[in-house]
Amino acid sequence: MTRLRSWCHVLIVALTLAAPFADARSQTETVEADLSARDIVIESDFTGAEIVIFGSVDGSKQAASTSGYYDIIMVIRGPAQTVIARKKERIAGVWINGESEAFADVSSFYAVLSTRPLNAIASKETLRRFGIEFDPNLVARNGTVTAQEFEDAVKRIKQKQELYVEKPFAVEFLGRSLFRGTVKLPAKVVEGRYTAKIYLLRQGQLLSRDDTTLTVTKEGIERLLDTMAFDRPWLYGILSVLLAVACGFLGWTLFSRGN
Amino acid sequence: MQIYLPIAETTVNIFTIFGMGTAVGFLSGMFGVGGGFLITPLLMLSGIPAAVAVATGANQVVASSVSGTISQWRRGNVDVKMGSVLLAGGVGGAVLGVYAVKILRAAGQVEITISLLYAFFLGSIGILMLGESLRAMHRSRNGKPPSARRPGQHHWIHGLPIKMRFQRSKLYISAIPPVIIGAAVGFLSGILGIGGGFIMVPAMIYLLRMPTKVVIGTSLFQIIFIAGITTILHAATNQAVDLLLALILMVGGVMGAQFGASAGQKLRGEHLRALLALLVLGVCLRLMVDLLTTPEELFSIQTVQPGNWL
Repeated sequence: MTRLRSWCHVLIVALTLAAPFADARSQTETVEADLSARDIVIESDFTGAEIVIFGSVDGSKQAASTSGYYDIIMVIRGPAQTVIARKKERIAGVWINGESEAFADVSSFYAVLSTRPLNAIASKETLRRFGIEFDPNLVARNGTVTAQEFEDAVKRIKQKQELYVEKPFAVEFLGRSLFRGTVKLPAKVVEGRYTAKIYLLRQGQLLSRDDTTLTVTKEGIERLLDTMAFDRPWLYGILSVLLAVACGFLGWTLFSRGN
Repeated sequence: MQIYLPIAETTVNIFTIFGMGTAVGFLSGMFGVGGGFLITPLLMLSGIPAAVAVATGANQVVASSVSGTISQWRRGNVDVKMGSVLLAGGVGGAVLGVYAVKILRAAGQVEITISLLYAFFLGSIGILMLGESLRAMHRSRNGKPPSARRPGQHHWIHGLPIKMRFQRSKLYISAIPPVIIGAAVGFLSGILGIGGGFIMVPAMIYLLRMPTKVVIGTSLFQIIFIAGITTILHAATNQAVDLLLALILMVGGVMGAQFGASAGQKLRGEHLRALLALLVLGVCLRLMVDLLTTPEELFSIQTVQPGNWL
């Protein structure tokens, strides 16, 4: 009897000791996310698109949606472009373009959504290591001025065009594990493959990441015109002129035949 | 109603663009100018990229000048022979102009060059025309003949060879000055994406001494071809013609042009010229303000194909 009891004790102790380890394995929460739309189609009524990014934390340990246990960062990037920034200078009273800097691999669209301001979530170095930054790469130094003001200008102008978006409180938890964020693609977005990376963090440490993509394509008349303008530019030009001539003739027939 | 433009890659209000086309069409029908010098800056103000504004503006000019020319043609106001001679020079000029845009674009100076050229030409031509038309009005009020033509006067132009007879214009002059004028205006058309009517009209009146009545029809006639060539060249070299944008502008433009042409018939020549001069000076002033005042944003950005920016 005593022997059996002592075995039971051993078992209980073993289980108690093992528990934290078992718990530790299930503690590696994973994040899974998806988008409300994976194909954005640009047609003549396109004024931009709203995209909902939603996901859940598998094995969530937070007590409620408002407990702020986890941080979520969403980074959406458009195809990379080369961008030239120019600074106006006053020469003989007239403002003309002066010094310029070129930047390569500039995301044509960059949005970062988070549960809190980025600097409260993790250090700058951590964020940079995970690729959470808008980073125009200087191609070559042309002028004597520092490139920094040009980099700032690229950010500022893109921000104004809604092509560079920072929304610090745009991600919210709807339950213990479910979260959601909304981002707007403006009408100016370019065609191509966009990536969305969703980071799950806790106290500045990355717990899990999930990636997904979406594509932006032109359809219908926009597709036709775009393809023709670039693939058959001469034909496109001649067609434009013929259309204009027809339009002018039609206008005259309709409005002033009697004159 | 918002509409997405495939080449400009932006969304605009269809009624704003349509209204712009109509207003500019009205003026072009009235004054015999293509209206490109108004449509291009207006498009740029609506957020259309400069290159697209220039190329699409040229396309819209084709439509408004076609319908304007037909109206003028039926009134017998087109001197085809003079138009063809002007065109002979104009084609060469336009090709050089579009090529110049390509170079300027690579250097990032296309906007500034366009603005400076506009300001210079609009300013000098506006002042010239305003002064002349005011003098003409003054003369006619004093009971003297309003005609600016002095047929008996001899000019160095009359000493040049290759003389041709232009019956509609009642002129017997050398073909050299019209070819040179055509080439100069064609060059500016290529650079500025305009028909060049606002330069061509005064050049015809003051340099070639053509009668005002024939000037508008003949200018419109040759603008069709110049703007057409400019459009094709811009489409081929810069892929910047937005056909959807052009179509909206054209529909508005041809309507406006018809009303403008009949309004122009009711006005006297010197009044017409004075009004055009004021309009030209107004656009010039607007450009000067932009060039001389400190811009809110000192920087601008341009997206380029990799390896194409040097």
